[in-house]
Amino acid sequence: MIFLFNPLHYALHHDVKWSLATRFPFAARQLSLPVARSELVGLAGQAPILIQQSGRHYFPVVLLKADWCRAPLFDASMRWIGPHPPLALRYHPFRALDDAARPGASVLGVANDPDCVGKDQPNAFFDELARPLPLVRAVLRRLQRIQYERAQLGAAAAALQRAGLLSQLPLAGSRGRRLFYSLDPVKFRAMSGSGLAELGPRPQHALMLAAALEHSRSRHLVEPSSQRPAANEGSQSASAWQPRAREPVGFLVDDDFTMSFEP
Amino acid sequence: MVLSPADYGHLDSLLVLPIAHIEVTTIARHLPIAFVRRDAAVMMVCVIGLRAGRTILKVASEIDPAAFPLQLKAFPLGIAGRDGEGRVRLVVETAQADALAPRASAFGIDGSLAQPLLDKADALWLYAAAAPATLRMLEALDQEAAFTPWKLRLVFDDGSAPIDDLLTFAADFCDRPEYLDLVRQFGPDMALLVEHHLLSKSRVNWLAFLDGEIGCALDGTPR
Repeated sequence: MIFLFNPLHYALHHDVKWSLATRFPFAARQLSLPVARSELVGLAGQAPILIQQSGRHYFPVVLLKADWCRAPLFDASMRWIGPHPPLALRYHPFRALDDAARPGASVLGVANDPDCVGKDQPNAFFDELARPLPLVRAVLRRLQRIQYERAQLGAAAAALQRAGLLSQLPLAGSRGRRLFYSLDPVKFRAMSGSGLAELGPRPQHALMLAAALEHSRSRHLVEPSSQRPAANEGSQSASAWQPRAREPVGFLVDDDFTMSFEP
Repeated sequence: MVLSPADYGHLDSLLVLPIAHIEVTTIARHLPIAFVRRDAAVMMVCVIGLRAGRTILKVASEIDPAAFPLQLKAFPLGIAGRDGEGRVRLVVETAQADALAPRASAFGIDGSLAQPLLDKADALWLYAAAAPATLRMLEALDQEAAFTPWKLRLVFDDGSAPIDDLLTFAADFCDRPEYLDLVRQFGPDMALLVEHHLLSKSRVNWLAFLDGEIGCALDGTPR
């Protein structure tokens, strides 16, 4: 399912209302979604996090393809099963679009999605003076923040790649090319302290990403071949043991994971 | 010497078990890793229960045996401090010897140590070898005032309170330059210790979820 995103405009949107998506049927055919820094730790506990390569860019993604996840991420009606859906889904039908008039700036795009935008939805876009309502402006600020945080993790992924700490996984992308990477735990453990403390502009982000890659891979990724991380080798009982499908959902005791509409 | 979870009954009153830094990646997949202050020193622990008498050992099949803490794998072998020359003093827990005897044999026919006991000794040796380095890292973290109380905002149906003496890292700790200084000093071990603690914190959800199942196991009612 592909939506047309129009920039928010009074002429287009004054007579319709909106609500945020709670079901994500449009994600059914998505292979992966980009990840923002503030959601990384929470998402690593729910789904596989990998590094995806696109051209010369490396960026962290959450893998959605069911064959590669140990437990389903969506229920039958395409609701996210875990406590918090990825930020890339949570703000649908909104998306930050590049502003053609101002390079580097972004404007609010609205999807042409009848499930979320229409006459019978609860929230208006504009006040009586044709100004976007505060909540709509807050969504744009939040989306801009998410873009910034994605760039932060992109820099962290690039730092891991430059340091030679990524190993390619035999997962094929949409055109059959192998585009996914995870952490090489052996090389990571062989790094010197000073090498680790100089990973990219914010080494903290690279360290957080490295740990999240290893953690989520061992918990959530179905290894496509025998190329398991070296840290798992030798633990025979690990492969014999299977977790139950039932896991807690719906509440999260994580004080670091906050979402704010404050500017 | 082959133990079933029922043999860990003596751990009923313990909600946390000390772990070494080499265990963090495996344990973080299942159990929350936290810190506790004991006798002014900070220890790294894994949380095996949220309130007294209700530990995951009652429903141990929920956990990958490979992810058991080394000290638990080693039971009934244990460490009782070090002697004057710094050597580790090994002890065998015999309080439950009667319960263990029917299944257990510590020695083979030729008088050598049996393989299960050797495996346990290996686990304990690993722990004892890593523990001093873990302690040094925790001391360094404590000197940088990295720790802050970790309050679990959980309420149980019967009104009992969850474990309340856990420590976690201060919210801004990872953004401080001191964190990178410690990574520089201790290398990947420090980064793995810090980051896997943070990743493991959401496993508290799972412990809270299992708390109800443990209640059923205690009452003998079916799940």
